Amino acid sequence: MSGGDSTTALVLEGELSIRTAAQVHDQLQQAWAEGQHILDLSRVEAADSAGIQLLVAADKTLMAEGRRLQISGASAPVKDLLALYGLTPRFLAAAA
Amino acid sequence: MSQDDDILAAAQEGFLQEAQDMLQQFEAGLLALESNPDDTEALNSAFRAAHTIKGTAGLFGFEAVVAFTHEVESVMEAMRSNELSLTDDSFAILLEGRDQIEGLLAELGTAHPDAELAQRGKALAQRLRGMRGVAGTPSESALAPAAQAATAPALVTQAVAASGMPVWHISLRMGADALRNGLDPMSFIRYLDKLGQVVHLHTLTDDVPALAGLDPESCHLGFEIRLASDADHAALLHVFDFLREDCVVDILTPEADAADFEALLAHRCPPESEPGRREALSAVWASQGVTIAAQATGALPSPAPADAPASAPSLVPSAPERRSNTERRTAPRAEEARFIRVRADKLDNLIDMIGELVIASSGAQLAAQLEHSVRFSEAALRIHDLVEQARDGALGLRMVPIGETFTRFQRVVRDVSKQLGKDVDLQITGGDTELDKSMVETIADPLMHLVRNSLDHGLELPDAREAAGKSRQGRLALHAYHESGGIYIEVSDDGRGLNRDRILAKAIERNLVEANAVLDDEAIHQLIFMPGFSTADQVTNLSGRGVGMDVVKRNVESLRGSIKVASQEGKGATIQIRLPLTLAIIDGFLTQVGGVSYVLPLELVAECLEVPRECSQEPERVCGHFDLRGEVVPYLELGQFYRHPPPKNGRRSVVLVRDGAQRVGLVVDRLLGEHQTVIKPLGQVFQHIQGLAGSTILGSGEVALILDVPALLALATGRLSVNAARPTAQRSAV
Repeated sequence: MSGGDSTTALVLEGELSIRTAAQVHDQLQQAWAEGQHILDLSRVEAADSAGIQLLVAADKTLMAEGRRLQISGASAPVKDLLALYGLTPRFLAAAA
Repeated sequence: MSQDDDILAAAQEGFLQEAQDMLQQFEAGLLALESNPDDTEALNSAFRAAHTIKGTAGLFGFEAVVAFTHEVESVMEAMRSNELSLTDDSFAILLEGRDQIEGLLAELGTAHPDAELAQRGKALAQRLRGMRGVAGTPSESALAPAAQAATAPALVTQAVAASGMPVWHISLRMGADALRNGLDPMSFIRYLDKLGQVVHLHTLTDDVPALAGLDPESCHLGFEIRLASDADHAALLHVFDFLREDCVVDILTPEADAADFEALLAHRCPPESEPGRREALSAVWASQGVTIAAQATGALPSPAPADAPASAPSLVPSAPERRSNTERRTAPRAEEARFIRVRADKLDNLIDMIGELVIASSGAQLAAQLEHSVRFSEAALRIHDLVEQARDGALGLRMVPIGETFTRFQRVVRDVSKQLGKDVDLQITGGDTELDKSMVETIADPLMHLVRNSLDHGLELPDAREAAGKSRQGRLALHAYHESGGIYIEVSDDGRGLNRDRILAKAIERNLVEANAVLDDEAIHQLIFMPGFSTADQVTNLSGRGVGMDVVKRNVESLRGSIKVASQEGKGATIQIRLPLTLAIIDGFLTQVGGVSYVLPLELVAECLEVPRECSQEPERVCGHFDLRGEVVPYLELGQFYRHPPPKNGRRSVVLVRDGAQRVGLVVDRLLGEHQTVIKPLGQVFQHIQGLAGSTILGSGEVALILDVPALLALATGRLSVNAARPTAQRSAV
């Protein structure tokens, strides 16, 4: 995780799931506090509903400040799940 | 693979046990309802019980149970919505239904289906459907709610997918704990895709807070799903069985009309919810092709008849069906959350461990005393206190209220009294008295026997009662209470009582007593518990159905309990069972006699006294009487009784113990104070010794003997010959 530049992406690796939710939650809060708003999910190996929920929460946090979450890249598991949940347009419109 | 089978077998075992509990709840609910038809809580409770059985049986694929229970449930549901009124007949049928479910459950364990049972089930299901038919409800047995096409005002939706499969609507709201419990909605949605085709899915994220307010492990998601599937309603509900406690799910059939959607909307977005929610959900539905609107355009085919009113739809009969559907999905959660099922052997292990802990803690305390270390002593004392609390807590885990067992008798009393043409009022008091679960199980059969005896032989027919100057309705009472370290359970009736002369005559005839024996009432009453007394013949008021009163007595005694009878001829009889509080650990009072430690149950100790003159004057006497503040009280010299050598230095004490109304003084050498006592069984060698209830291990590793106070009392009051009972070769018992 690199510091405070609003144009660099926060790279999440490994799982984006209930098992890592607490940790990712902290990571996101810190990154958002530092002004970031881009996530790189291309190295996420597995995702579940808890992960998706974190993306929604992250997006809502930014919306309150008039910004939106940008996902610069997403791995297949993330894409699949977003598609299943009908959330592809919300998160991956730009990345596609 | 075999491990999976084990898990499944264990889960099934759990299901069968739960089902038994639910059947009991069902029955209790019905009986309560019978006495008070306005008791909606009783109706709901019975309904929930039936529903839980159906749901869990479905989980295991016990189709016969599911199908039949469904019939019962449907009748209950009609009752709940007041479509069906309650008659005596309906109770009888529902109770038969309960027995049928029990029969089906019992059949699960066997390899061969019982044709007769199936036949009975079919007939009963017919009658259950008949009940609903009378009330004008649709009588088809389909699990799906009936289509009410004529009442659909203006629903514009696509009821059939391009694939030709009917389209269902599933509205799912996850519970906060779902993810934590390992239940991820994505698995369920993926599974739905196998049952058919998810045409549309909208994920509701309104409830997901911003990062700052988010507990990342809680679930705040909701889903509105359009599913094209040939599966039936039950199969779809089945998908969510695992989620049952962690979600609220509503499934609308392809035939669902505007009213159904309207009701769902009202349910999801009650008036008190945030403004705009309702509109948002409607918009979601609209995006899925479901529009409930009067201004529907003609672009989509409308299944509604042209003359249907386009105003706000009223709640049609299928609406309450679905609302109650939601209710029953959420209601069990509150109830089940209060209980966890634990394997009995785990609990027993825990209690064993606590027992060892108690002993080890006594050891630590003793060591601390010997070390003369204040800090060590304080620490040991603190541990001792905590261990004591842990002990009470652990023993409490095994305690269950006896009320559950008592309520089981309501059915017996109802059925048997109807069968015998008697009118009996069953009164239950003290149902919240708690006792050890294993005791409850052992005591249930003897109690059943006593209740049946009272019904069969104690209580008279209404006419006979009237002739005897009593009310036509007989009274049968079950009463439980705690007193002086024991639990008392009483079965009493106001029937004809025990016939003293006939019992005596019978006992003489059977050579149980001498022909010229002179016995007081209590001794005569005790005769009915003699083996060989209550066989077949109808001479006594108390006769058995295979088991005699001697078996009842043996069961009670196996629990270290005792049984007594009080009876007044023509007025009634009371049978009192006394049981110890626990089977494992007691608070003891430690004494020493002739170098051996003896433990008395602390709750039986009334007071400690100096040795009165009467005893010290005659040191060779084993027992006698002394004057306690003007009262004559028997005493037993334990040193003499157990033939210990007399103590060298004199200052001895008397411990006054009581059992019910009776008291006895026990002369001991030394008083050592309170002691937590883990009861261990006596070895074979000591089993014949009178007056001992068990043994225990002291902190020092020495063995102490636990005294059986009721037995000692009997000895001291001369009911048994002391010399005959006195142990022969006996010194130190260790």
